[in-house]
Amino acid sequence: MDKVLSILKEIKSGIDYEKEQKLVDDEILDSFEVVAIIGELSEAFGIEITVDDMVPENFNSAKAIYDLVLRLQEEQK
Amino acid sequence: MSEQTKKRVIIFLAVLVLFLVYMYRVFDLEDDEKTSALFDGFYSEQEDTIDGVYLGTSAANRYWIPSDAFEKYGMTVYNLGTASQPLVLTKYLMKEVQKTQDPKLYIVELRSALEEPDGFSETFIRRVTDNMKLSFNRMDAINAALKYASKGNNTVTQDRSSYYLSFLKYHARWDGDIDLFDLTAIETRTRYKGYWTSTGKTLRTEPQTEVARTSAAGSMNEYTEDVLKDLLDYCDSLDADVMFVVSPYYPDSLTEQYVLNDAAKIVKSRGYPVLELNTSEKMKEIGLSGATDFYNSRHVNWYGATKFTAYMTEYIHKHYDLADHRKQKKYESWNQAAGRLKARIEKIKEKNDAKQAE
Amino acid sequence: MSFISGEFLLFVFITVSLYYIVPRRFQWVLLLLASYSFYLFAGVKPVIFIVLTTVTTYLAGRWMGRFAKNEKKKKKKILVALLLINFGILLLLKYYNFIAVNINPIFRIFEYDVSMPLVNMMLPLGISFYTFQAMGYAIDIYRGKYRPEKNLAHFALFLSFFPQVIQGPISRYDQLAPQLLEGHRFDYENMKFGIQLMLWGFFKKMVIADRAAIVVNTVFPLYYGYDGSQIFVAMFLYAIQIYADFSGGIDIARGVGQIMGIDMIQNFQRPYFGTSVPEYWRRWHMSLTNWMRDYVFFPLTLSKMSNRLGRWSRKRFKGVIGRQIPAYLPTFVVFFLIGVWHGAGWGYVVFGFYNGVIIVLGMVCQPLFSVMNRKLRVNEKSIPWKVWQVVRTFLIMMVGKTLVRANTVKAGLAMTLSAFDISSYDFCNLPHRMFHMGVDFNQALILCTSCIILFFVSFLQENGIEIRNTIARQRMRWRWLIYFLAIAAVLVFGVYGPGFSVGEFIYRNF
Repeated sequence: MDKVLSILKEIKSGIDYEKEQKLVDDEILDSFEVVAIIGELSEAFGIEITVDDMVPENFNSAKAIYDLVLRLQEEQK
Repeated sequence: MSEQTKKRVIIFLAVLVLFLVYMYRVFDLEDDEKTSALFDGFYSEQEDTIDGVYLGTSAANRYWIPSDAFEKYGMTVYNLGTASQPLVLTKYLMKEVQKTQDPKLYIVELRSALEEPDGFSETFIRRVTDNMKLSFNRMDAINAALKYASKGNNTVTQDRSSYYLSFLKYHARWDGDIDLFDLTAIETRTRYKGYWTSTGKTLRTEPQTEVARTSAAGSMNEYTEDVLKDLLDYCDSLDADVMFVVSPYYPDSLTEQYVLNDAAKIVKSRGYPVLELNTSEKMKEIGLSGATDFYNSRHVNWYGATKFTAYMTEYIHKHYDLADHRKQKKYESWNQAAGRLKARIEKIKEKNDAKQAE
Repeated sequence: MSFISGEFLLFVFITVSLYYIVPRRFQWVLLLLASYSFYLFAGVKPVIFIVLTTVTTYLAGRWMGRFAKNEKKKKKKILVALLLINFGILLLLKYYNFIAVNINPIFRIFEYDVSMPLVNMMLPLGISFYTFQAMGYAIDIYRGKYRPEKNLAHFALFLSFFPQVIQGPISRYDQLAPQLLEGHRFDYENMKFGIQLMLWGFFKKMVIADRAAIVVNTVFPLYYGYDGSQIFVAMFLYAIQIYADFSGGIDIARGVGQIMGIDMIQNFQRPYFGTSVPEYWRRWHMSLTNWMRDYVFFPLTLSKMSNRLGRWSRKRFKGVIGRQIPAYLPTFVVFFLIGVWHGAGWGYVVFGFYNGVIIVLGMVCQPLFSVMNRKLRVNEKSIPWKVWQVVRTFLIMMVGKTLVRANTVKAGLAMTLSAFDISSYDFCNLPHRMFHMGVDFNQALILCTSCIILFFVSFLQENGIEIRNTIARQRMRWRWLIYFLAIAAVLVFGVYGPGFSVGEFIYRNF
C-alpha cells in the first residue's frame, strides 16, 4: 500500500490520497496521470493492467488501486 | 403538485399569455400609411352598418370620401383601400368584411390590374395581412399572395411563418424603431372612414398636362389576369352587387392604358359594370381639372376627391339601392367623420396659408 | 427539424403531453415512435443508415453476448467486423468527397487514368453521433461491461432518441438506456427546470450565437478587408458563437430530456474557464472526449506495445517525461480523430494536429515551466496566475477554431497574424470600425450585454452555484421577473435568421 501511495504522490503531489474517494470521478487525476500511474504500477508490481481494468471503481481511491494491484498479482501469478 | 403550486402555474400561464398578446401588439407593422389604423377602425364599426365597401390601391383611398357620400344620400360605403393593395387580396378582403358586415355593394378599383409578380413587394401584402385579425381567411390570403409573388422576380421571401405570426418579423423593430407610443400598444383608428389624408398631399396641387389617351386594349400580365378571373368567379357567388372602377389619372404611357382597357374588357365580358373614368370625356363630366385637382399624376387631391366622390355617389344612388341612414342614431359616427374631415381640411389650409405667409 | 423552429416546439409539446398520458410501461414505445418520426422528418431515405447501424450493432452485441468473458478472439472478430461496417459507412458518407478531391491530383501526377468521381451526398442526421454511440456500446459489450440488449426496439430507441440525435451528447448505454426504458411519473420540478434549461439554451443560441454569427459571417469570408483589431474581435466572437451555439443546443436537448425525467449527460462545463488546453478538452464536448479517452486513448496507452515503450522510456528518461512518452502518440491520434470527426477538410485535420502538438508540447515542457515558475517566483495558486492561464488557453483555442472556420487554413493563419499584430491596430478609428462589421451600436450593445450575462452565469456555476435551484429559492416576484425577462429577451432580441425556421446549429450536419 505504501508503494502505491508513493507512486501516486510522485506522479501528482498535493492530494490527500488517504481521504479522496473520487480520484477519477471528480477528475482529480486526469487521463495522462492515470496512464503514468498505470505504467509505474505495472513495473513496480510486475502486473499487466489492461483496458478492461480501466473502470472508475478500480481507480477512485488509493485503496481501490491497491486492491486492483493485489487482485492482478493473484490472477497473473 | 400541491394545490397552491397548481394555482401558481395557472396564474403564471395566464400572465404569460397576456404578456405574449401584449408583445404581439407592440411589435407590429409600422408603416407611413397608417394602415393598422384603417383596419382597427373597420373592425370597430358596429355590425351590419356598412352597406358598401370600396376596395383597391391608393387609387381608391385617395379618391373616395365616404363621409361626403353619407352627407349627400346617407349611404355607408367604407373605404378599405391600401397603398398598392394586391388584386389577389381583394377576394379575401371581401370575405373578411362579411364576417362582421353585410354589404350590398362592392366597388373594386381596377388600377391594381397593372400590377405584376415582378417587382412585387412584401409591404403591399403586409399592409393588408398584418392588419387582418388572426383567422383562416388571413392564412388563405397570405398563401394566395405568396403564390402570386412566387410567379415573378421579387424580394418576397416565401417564408410563411413571419406572415402568419408577424411578431416574428417585427420583433426586430427593437433596434431603434420602438417608441413610447408603441409600448402603450394603444389602437388608433382611422378618422374618416378610410379616406386617406396627409398634411403634405391632401391639399397640394401639381398641375397636370393632358396625355394621350387610348381605348385600345392590350394584354394584362397573365398571372394578374388569372387573379382577376378568380376574383370574378368569387363575385359570381355573391349575393351582393359588384362594380368596378378605373379612376381618373394621368398615365405614364399608353401601355398602362392597354392593360387597364384589357382588364375592363374582361370584367365587362363577365357581366359586371366598369366605370371607365380615365377618359378625357369622363374627366370633363366629373369636372376634374388637371390644373387644380391632382397632387401628382396618379392621385387626386381633396378637391379632386370631392368631385370624384360626388360623381360616384350620384352613380351609386342611381343604379343601386343603398339605404339612407342619415336620420339614424346608430350612424352618428359617419356625421362625426364628416365633421372631423372638415376640421382636418381647415387645419391643413391654415398650415398652408401660414407657410405661404412666411 | 431544427431546434429553433415552431415545428420543434410543437413536436416537443405534443410528445411530452403524450408521454405523460400513456401508461408508464409504454412510455418508451412512445419515445421510439416519436424519435423515428422526428428522424423521418429530416428525410425518408437517410433512415436506412441509422436502421442499418442499429440492426448490425444489436446483432453483433447479442452474438458477442453468447461467448464467455474470456473467449476474446471470437468476440474480437465480431467487433472488428462491426466497427469496419459502421465506421466504414461513416467514413464513406462523410469523407469520400474530401478523399477524392485530394487523391485525384495525385492520380494525375502519376498519370493514372483514374479519378474518383465526386458524389452529391447528404449526411444522415446525427450519423457522427449515433455511430459513435453505437460503437461505444459494442466495445462495452466486448469488454463485458454489461449484458447486451435483448430487445431490438429498446436498442433502436437508445440510438435514435430524438433530443440527442441532432448534436449529441454521445451517451453510454448503461447511463441512458435504463432511463429511457423505465417509466417516469410527471414531476413538476423536472418540468420546470427542463423548460428553464431550454429557455437558457434558446437564449444562448438566438440572442448570443446567431448575433455573433452576423459579425463572423461578415468578416471571415473577406478578412483581408478588415484590420487586425476587427479580425481579433471577429475571432473572439466566433469562439463565443460556437460555444453558445453548441452548448445552447445541448441545453435545449437536455432540457427536453429533463422534462421527461431523463437525465442526459453533460457535454459542457464552462470550457473557457479551463486553465490549460487538456483541461479545456475535459470541459468541451465532454461526451466526445470521454469517448475518445475510453475507446481510443486508454486502449492505445494500455496496449502491449505501449507497455513496452513505457518500460523503455521510464528507464531511459527519469522522471515525468519518462512516464509520459507512451501517451504522446495516442494523444496525437486522439486529437487527429477529434479534429476530423468535426468534418472533412484540411482545416479539421490541422485543428487536430494543432491541439495534439500543443498538448504534447505542454507535457514535454511541463518540467521546464515548473522550473521557470519557481525561478520567477510565480504563485501558481494565485488568482492573477489563474486568470493568465485562462486567458492564454482561451486565446490558444480561439486561434485553433479560427483555423477551422476560416475559408482556408492559410486564411486562418493570415487572420491570426493580423489579429495579434497590435501595431497594426488603428486606434483612432476604433468605434467606427467596430460598428462596421455587420452590427450596429444597438446590436453590439445587446451582444455585449448578453455575453456579460453568460459570463456572469458561468462564473457563478464555476463556483458551484446551481442557477436553477438558486432562482427557485427566491421570492416569487423575483423568480417571475427573471422568467419574463428571459422570455422577452429571447422573443425580442433573438435573431430569427433569414428564414425563421432555419436557425441551423453549426454541429447539425454531423
